[in-house]
Amino acid sequence: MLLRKKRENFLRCNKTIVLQHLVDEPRDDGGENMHVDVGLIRTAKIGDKESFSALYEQVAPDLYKFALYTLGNAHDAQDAVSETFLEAYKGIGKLRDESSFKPWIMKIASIRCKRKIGQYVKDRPNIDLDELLENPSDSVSLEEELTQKSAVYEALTQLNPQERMIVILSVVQGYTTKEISQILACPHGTVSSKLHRTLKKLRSMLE
Amino acid sequence: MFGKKRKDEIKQNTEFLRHKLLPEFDRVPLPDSLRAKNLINTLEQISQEKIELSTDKKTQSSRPMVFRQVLAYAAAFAVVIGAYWGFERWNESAIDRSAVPREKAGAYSAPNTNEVYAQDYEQLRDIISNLHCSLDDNDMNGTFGIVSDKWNPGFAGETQAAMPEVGKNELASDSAEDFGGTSGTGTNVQVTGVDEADILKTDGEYLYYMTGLDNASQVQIIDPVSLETVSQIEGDPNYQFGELFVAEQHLTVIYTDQVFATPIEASAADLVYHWPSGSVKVEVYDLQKIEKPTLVRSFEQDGSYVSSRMMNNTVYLVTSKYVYDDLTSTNVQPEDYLPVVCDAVGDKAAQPQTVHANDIAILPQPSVPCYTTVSAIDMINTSEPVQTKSVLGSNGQLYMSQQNLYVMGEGYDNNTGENFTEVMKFAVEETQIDFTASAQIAGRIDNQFSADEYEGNFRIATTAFTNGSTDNRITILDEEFHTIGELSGLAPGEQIYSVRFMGDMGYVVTFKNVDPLFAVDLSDPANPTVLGQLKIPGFSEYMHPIDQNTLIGVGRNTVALADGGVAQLGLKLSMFDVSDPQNPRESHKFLIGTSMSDSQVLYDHKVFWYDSQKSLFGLPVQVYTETVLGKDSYGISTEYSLDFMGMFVFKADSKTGFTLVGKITHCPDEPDDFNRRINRGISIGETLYTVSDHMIQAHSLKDFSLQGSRTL
Repeated sequence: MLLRKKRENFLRCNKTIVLQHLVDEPRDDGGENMHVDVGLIRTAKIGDKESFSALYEQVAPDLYKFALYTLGNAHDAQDAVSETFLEAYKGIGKLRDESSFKPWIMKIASIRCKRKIGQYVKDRPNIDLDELLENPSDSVSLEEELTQKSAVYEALTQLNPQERMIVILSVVQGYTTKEISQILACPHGTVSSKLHRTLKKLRSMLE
Repeated sequence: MFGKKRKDEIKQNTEFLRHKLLPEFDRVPLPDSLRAKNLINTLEQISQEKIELSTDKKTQSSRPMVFRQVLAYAAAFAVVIGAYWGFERWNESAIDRSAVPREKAGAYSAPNTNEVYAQDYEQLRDIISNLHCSLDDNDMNGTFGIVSDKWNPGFAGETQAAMPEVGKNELASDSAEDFGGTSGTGTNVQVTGVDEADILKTDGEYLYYMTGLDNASQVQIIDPVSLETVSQIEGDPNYQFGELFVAEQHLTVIYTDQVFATPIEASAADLVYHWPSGSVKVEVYDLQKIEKPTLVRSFEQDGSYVSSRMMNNTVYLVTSKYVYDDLTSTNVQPEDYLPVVCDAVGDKAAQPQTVHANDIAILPQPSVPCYTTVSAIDMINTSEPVQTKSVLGSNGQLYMSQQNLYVMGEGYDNNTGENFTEVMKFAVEETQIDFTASAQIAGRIDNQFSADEYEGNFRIATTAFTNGSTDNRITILDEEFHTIGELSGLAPGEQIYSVRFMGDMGYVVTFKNVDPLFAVDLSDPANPTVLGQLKIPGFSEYMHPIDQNTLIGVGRNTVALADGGVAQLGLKLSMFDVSDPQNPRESHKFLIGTSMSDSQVLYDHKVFWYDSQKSLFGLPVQVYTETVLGKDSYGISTEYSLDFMGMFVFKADSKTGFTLVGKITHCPDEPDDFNRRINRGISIGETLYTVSDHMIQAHSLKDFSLQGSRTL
């Protein structure tokens, strides 16, 4: 019924992954085991912008990647992350446990992503699959690299946004299904079952 | 066991995919614009706002309930007025939580129940915390989402298989009685007398249509003669989609989904802890002056929408609320782990309130930290308070008979690796609801048609997943919910695709490669017996009885492939002759389109329009034709074209079978314009009305000539 209708539109709208230049950069290690400076959080909570900025910098790369692969385009991902930045700053007073800063801000990011998706459904744009712009690395031949990347992106476009979110949070960012359930506000059993199915599906596409 | 096997599979697949995905992810740089130093400028304006916000205690009436300050107060006395407990406002900064006394609850014993009502909120909080502790990572505990994944069509068939010859049926069909349920409001319902909400309703005088365009719900009240919109109800822009009930000059609008991408935006930070699944809103309008409907009642309930029913002018609303928070953090508010309702009658400003502990039952073996909440709302006597009951431990789909309301949740036993269905039974009497019993049945249901109540007994058809295979069964429970009869071993290895109970008989369609239709004799509840079965290709997703001996099945045609798989073909209508239950037959069939063809009826029974007086039924369809372009190194290349999107109208007769008598479309020139997909049909007298998002049309039921058309 309505669920199916939404699904149809998701699949139609999210066929684009437009990537900007991929340039090697020093890795920002946000890390799931983010070491939280409780002092930083306390000062951020009372409105200190510097402290909040420092906290944000630690998680920003992961926020962006999550949004990029969920939404499928850099422009919307940037919107979602800058919105997350604002909302997190406004709302950090409501953060309950200092140690759960990262899942907390990830949750805000997932809500912002869901809103973007809500707009896709509303606008129903016609989207074509665009060419990917790549900067090949030195070690692998251009052809090999393009094939490898295309396969990954192609495979990801076959998933709906929720499935992508679950995969990214689990496989790439290492969250447990319990944490994913809390971040996405999705029942734990659903997360487990979707994770199992989606991993299987993805694997068969990439093998 | 499923649990361990799945865990291992997830682990292996995760490792494999990590190698593929991580290199890509690692190389994505953070754009400069997202560096803190660049975003920090936007904070200048925010600092000011933030200071103001922290001192502002006013509730903002334009936001949905979730963002008002929930009033909470624990009283030391227990007086129950209606079904909920009042709380006082508390000052966020002044509260000393250690000093909040536990509320005492009076002893409450519900009749005929082996379940326990909660003593106080601490008890509920403890149970939820414990349930969270026991949710092991990557284990399959808990309730699944109700998304069915049995639809696994394989790939499009390359050749059409020759269909077996089917004999003709000589039986007369003389009854004009509606053997499927009638609602009197134009909706195809399961049980006569128990109405189900829908987007299109009629009371015979007007048509009430809820459209969901442009992010806001809107109800249009349409004059069936002129097709003009007589009046319009603008929905709450914070909500989208919804369903309607209409009765005795009152219209109930149910908003089932909160929208987040609206100008009146809620802060995501607020949502993190409070009601991530949103809330459902019910509005009742008085239609005495049809040009100016008046809002007379507004009721909200937190959680996500399960379903609703209406009987004797009382609306029964069912929602489920999953508590994601493990409640171990500080500053946990009662509304974070308790169901909350809010009733505004007339103009009174309402206060959200947590449901009283005495009205929250706890399942003997709660499997998930989830509440199912049922509220009974009187549509006509708006001064009648709403009654609410909740159950902690499961959630699920809704079936309602004229006496009882059943919620059926999916559960998974991590120890045995088996699925079960948790059925919760509520006795209903007008606005009185009582949680009376619960039972665990092996297996999972297909949809609401999997359950039925007859002569006091509850019958339920389930598919059990055990030992890597499946088994289908029918279980019968008596009024006290004890199992009195059981039938298992129905089509092992297959799954249930549709069920229809009809009094002493039950018809079950299962499928893996071929579609057995089973005719089950239920006349002796202690001994359900399979009388006969029919095996044909394809499967039915929905079955509709047109007389005592005949069922229409709506589903898909399939063909078995050489490698043992199954290829889906187009849509299929089957007419089942069950006059001799030991030998059910497919007396007629009708095929529509090729593999891409689809109909919403496969997913939602309310889309099916049936007029028993005229023996006509309507099927919204998307018909694709396919052209094989050629063969290249990738395989066979096929082009699909959507040739028709609209409604096929059939005459159904057990003697002559299916006759296509009309084709109605709102988009003759652009069949792929989904705004013009016909969602519903309703008939008043000699006219058939069809609605899409874009327009409404009226056709004569005699010759299907177009009588009127209007863009909405």
